[in-house]
Amino acid sequence: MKMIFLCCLSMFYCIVGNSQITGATLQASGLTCALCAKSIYTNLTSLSFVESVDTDLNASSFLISFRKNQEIVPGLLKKKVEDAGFSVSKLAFDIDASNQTVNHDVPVKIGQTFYHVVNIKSKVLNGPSKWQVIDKGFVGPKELKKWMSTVKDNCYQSAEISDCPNIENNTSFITYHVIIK
Amino acid sequence: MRINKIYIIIFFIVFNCYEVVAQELYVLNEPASNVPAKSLNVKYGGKFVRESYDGHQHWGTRHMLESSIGLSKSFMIRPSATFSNMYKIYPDRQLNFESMGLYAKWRWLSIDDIHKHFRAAFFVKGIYSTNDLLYDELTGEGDQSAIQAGLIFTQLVNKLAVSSTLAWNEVMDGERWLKYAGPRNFGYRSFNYAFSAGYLVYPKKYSSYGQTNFNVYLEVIGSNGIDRQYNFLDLAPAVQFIFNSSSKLNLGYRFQLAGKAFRMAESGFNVSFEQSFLNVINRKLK
Repeated sequence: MKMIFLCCLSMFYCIVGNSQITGATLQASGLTCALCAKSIYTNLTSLSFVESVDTDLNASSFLISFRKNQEIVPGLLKKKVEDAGFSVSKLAFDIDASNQTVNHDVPVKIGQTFYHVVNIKSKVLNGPSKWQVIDKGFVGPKELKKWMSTVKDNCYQSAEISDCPNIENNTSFITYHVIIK
Repeated sequence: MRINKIYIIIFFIVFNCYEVVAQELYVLNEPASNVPAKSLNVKYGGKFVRESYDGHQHWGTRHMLESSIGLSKSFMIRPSATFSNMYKIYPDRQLNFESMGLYAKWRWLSIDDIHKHFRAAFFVKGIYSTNDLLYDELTGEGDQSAIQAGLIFTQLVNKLAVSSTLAWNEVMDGERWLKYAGPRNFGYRSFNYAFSAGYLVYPKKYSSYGQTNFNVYLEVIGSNGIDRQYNFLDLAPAVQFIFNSSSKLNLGYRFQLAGKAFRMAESGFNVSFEQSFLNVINRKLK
């Protein structure tokens, strides 16, 4: 019964988007050397949904282009950076939106992934915007502390999907918390 | 007392390097960081020392081959083998198989921030060596059959990277357990330690992965006998060229600064070449 209720609720709340991810900027932390950056670069380019990666070695920053019509999995981008021995300190997606309504605490579905928008007043997006993932493992320790004290949702605090409102209670769906800039 | 003065000098040198970009791809010691998961790093290392034994002077040479394998982001292993003409009595100076070893490192702490990290790792190494015990100096390089275990702490803060290694060394030579009532010639247990620092000289600003990097390193390596009194403290400056962000050429010199120990040589040269193969182990490791 609870499941049916949640499914109905999600159909009502969840906004299936008119949005597309066109690229991403990923900043890695814990490194200064070019050899270290190359291990991240090699790992990122091995992902099937990544088309190309441009590196800014001085900023340890990676500009990622994605293949069209492929599911983009933020968790895999993070895993590839961690496998290289480093951490993600910033991951911001370039989103191309068309009549996309966004509300605080309401997830937007892009592909099979939910982007749980927080800290925003209700508005309609058109054109390009940057959506930064603020979950644990996607921001540095100081920024995580800041968001932990700002975003009080259980879903954000515990990083458990079962705590997230407005989403089907189905573990095959993944949610990420984002702020829109 | 002399050793204390040397420590002060080393710390002074290292902390004067504060404003340069530090590197932790040390030449003689390991950082707490690992090779990337599913990656392979193959290394040749040569050690060349001037030996003096029984009135004869000759070059002692050790060739080392090792491959580091990243099993996960925090765990790596490194099988190795050495071939040398050391520990041989003149005129038998043939190059022969000397030792094989297995090193494993577990990075159990990693706190990352932009251009900043603190990492800690635990390591253990087992070495089977064909050498007889001839000197005080106990190493993890293949000189003796031994088990070595220890901790590594590496800190990168505001462009300064320093690392310290603390290791316990137990010699596993059969001689250790012989029923023999006479005086023992050599010890079987030592505490080895190292303090390493390095910085990038060129380029001042990165432009591409293909750019050659030039790093300078300074390492302090010491050893104290536990069951037999000996100690030494070495200084090892080295230079490193990194080509194409995947090959490293290291050239170094190591010499004794202080201490008293019966060693094969108090100074020597190191040459090594490393090649990284990133993300080559595609099969999922369980």
